[in-house]
Amino acid sequence: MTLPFADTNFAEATWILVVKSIVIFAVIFAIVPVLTVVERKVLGRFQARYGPNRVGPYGLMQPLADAVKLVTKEHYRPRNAIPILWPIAPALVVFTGVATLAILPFGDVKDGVGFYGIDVPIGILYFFAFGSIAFYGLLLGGWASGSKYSFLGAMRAAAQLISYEISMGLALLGAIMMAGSLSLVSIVEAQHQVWYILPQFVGFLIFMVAGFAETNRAPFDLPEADAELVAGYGTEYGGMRYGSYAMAEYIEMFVISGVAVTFFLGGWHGPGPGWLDPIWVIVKIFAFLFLFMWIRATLPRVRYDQLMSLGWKVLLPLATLNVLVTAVLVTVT
Amino acid sequence: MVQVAFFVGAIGATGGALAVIALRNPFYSVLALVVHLVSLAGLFLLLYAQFVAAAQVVVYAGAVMVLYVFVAAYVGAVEEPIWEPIPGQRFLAPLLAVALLVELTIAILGTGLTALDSEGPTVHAGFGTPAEIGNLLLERFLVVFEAASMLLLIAAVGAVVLAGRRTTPPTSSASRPGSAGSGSEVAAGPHAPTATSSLAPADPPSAAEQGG
Amino acid sequence: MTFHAPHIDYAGLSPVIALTAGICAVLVGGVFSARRQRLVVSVLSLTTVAVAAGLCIWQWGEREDLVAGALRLDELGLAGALIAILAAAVVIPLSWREPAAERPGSEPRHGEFQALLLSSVLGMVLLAQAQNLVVLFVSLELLSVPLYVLCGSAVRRTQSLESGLKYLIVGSLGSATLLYGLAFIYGGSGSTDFTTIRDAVGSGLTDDPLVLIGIALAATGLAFKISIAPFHQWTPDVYEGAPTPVTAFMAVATKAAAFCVFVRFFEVALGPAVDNWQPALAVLAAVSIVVGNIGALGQSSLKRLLGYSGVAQAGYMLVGIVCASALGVNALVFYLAAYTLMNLAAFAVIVVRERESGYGDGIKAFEGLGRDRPDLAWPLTIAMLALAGLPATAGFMGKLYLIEAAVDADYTWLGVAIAIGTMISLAYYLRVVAAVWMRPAAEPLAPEGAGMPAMAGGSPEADPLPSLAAATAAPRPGTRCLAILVPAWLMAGATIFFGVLPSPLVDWASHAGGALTPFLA
Repeated sequence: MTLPFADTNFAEATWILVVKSIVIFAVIFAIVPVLTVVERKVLGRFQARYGPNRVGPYGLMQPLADAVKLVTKEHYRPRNAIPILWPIAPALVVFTGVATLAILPFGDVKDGVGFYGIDVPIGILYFFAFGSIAFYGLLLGGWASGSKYSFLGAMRAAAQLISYEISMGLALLGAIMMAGSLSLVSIVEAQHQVWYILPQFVGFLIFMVAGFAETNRAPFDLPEADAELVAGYGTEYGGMRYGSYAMAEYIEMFVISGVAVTFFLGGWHGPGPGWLDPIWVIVKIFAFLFLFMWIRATLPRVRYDQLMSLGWKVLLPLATLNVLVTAVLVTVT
Repeated sequence: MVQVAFFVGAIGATGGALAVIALRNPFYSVLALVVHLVSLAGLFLLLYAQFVAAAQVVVYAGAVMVLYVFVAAYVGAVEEPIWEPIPGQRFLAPLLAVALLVELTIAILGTGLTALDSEGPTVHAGFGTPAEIGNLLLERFLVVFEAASMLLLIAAVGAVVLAGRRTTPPTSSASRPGSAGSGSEVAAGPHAPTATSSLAPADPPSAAEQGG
Repeated sequence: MTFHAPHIDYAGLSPVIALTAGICAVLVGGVFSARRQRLVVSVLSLTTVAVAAGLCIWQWGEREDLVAGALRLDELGLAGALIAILAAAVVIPLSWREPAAERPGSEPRHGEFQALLLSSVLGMVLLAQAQNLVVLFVSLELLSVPLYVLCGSAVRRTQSLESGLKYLIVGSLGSATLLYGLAFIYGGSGSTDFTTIRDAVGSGLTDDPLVLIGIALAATGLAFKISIAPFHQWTPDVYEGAPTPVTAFMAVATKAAAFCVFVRFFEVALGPAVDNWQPALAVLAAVSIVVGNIGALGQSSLKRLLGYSGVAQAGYMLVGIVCASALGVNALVFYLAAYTLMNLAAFAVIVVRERESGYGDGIKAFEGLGRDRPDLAWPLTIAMLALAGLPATAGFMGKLYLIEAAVDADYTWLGVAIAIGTMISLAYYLRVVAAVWMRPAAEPLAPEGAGMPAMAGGSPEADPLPSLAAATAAPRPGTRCLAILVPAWLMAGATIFFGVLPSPLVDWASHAGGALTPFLA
């Protein structure tokens, strides 16, 4: 049994693929709860307070308590909400987030097993394809809730998402041209001498700014700007459905960090023996996650027109210029 | 496995397409169209056209349909009947559609081409990869590639002509920031800063209520 | 995967390159010239057009495949390109006072207007030379998309927007049908190159249902573009609503380019299946002649009348394709050139009268023209008589050659259909001539302008009405506009010249037909 789209540089047995997907899934679902508590602790430190410290040692059991609370809450549905679409929306967001994890490489092929979900030749396009489907999760959630705040939040999220996706793609194009491949594994392999953060520094900056906007994180968290829109598209959701949106946001942060590590920080490359590769990837990803939290604690929220003019008038021309310059340099050298 | 995937994709594509024209609420029609396009992407995958499948999702589901969704969500539930009653149209149009379907069926069943009734062509390794498509675009279809880029440029210009709104008459002083003004309008697509930041639809949930 | 750059013959591709560079220059020029925009932009685009025409003439006589067989450089393609370029050169001065480009009370948009026009020309040049299904489709879109915008570019007139939208929807339907047909032909023959398709179809696929339905759908799609009945319903409405210079351009240039690709696609790629498509196209041509001529009878708007007349003329020209002979192609190219001359002369006069009189393009606007404005009356009269096919005009010679080709190809009944159609058409063409010369001038209406409608789709708050002073600054009656009169007289003069001395144009057209000789029986 072979899937027609899985024949890539390196073919594996189906059972290995299944095991790999379970492992990746389990690891991510262990990391997300950790992330929530880390974020709250870190934010606490930035704001000169303790953060959660009541549940378990140093408050480390806090996510468990949160999960129990969210899962056991009543599944309340507003009267205006649309029956089928409303519950599907959060599931869609989580699904696309998890599906994207499949292409993040945590190491090269070791003992006949590639340390990644799949290595597709379309590579990063896979990430963008699922990103476009994630858009419908946000939009459906906001629209199907039948409430003004949800709708406005969803519309903001949608506009923001598609505005920044272009700059994001163009920012990665520079690295893709230098590596000469779309496959994430090949891109990491191409960085064994120099990480692309040096030659592609502009692309890296654009990618990170666009990444913050894509994940709806501060300072671009306008879709859920609590002072204006209560909680944006998530306003009418409660219990684990709300939890799904929150979880999806963390997964997306993880994915964006993972893509940044893959494209600009040399992926699994690092000192030490080969078995350290996945550890290196995780460490680098956590460095980025810390950056996400740091910026959330530091920068105020931008205005909506500032957000749009930054995206269209600054990032997009800059990213195009970056692609142009890179193309010339790649051709010349 | 492949058969199952094919039938899932085919049913999704056909069902989505039917739902687009059958559903009354335009928002649902748009969503059905998204289902149709994503199913088509699945079928492309089965044909080893991975790049086309990804492009289909990114371009259609991710960009084109987003604009449809915006329009449908803002303009929302229009009470007017969708078609203008032309006499006989309700009966004639389905009749012609069925006639076309019959013709196409005859064409596909009656053809003497062998590829249509066997396993299909065998493809070589690397078929449908971005590298191969890039080579095609820059070797055999170079003119098309350039013409398409011109088409996109001119479509953007056309959008500015139709939607751009520079009401200030030209003044005698030539201090107008010409390039900046034009540049911002090119960038200002359907989600222009002004258009979206002033979003205050008269009654946003009306669309939702209509749907429910 | 290694990359082998295709061989590019820059000399052969030079008209296309010149047009592309010109479009960019016009766009940039429009942005950076605030006050003298019309002058700067027009100089740029007329230079572009002149250079492109010069390069086309320079390449005249060359025959080769360009860029991996995507384009075919031969006289047929260059003839189509030259006709489209001529139309653009005439239409650019026509558009100088056009509200759609001038935008009274607002910033002028000559740069965008002319860039759109030129990119449509670029699409036509590519289309006329296309030798590959993919090039065919993309250049058809490159031709159409600017026209959709131009039709709707007079954003303060509802009819203009309606026309743009109608053209967009019908045009997209036509494109989709064409694409569907091309997909079947590709599926059947396994190639997108015309010559390879010819070989594949010739080797036993002429009666394959898959290829046949592909031919049918492709013919339908192309018929939409050249407004062959029964796919013509959009034509009168779009012609009437669009800004008149755009209508003039659309009417002649689109037809020329689309007919060039029609003839190339059917005679070259689908040549072996000629027995299957010939009768179908013959019926379409006959239907088109009848429907167009009868539809034009009751029209009071001159643009609608010319729209229906265009349907009938497309029917005449389709006869040239039905013949499937070198004679037919020669006659088609000759008629395309003649049609361009006569129609441009007629539209130039309509442009002037539409602005002077309050009756728009209604036939009332032309009453008494012979006494008041003989300088306008003569070109219009010549154009109408030529369209009707009176002797000593290019229209007569064109019809004569078409009938000759039809008789030669054993389609005598089509020749008879052309003759009958011409007789019907006299009724409405002569009605215009009678209005010009034999009626007293209608009471002049006050030109509209005080009530400038709001931009369609705009909100009154965000879109303040332009100042009245600017809006009423329309040209007063009696204004002599040389930029329009000179082309009108030139076109009318050429119509007469080639009617009396057709041999230069006949030679020119026979070169174009000769390009396809290897593929014709």
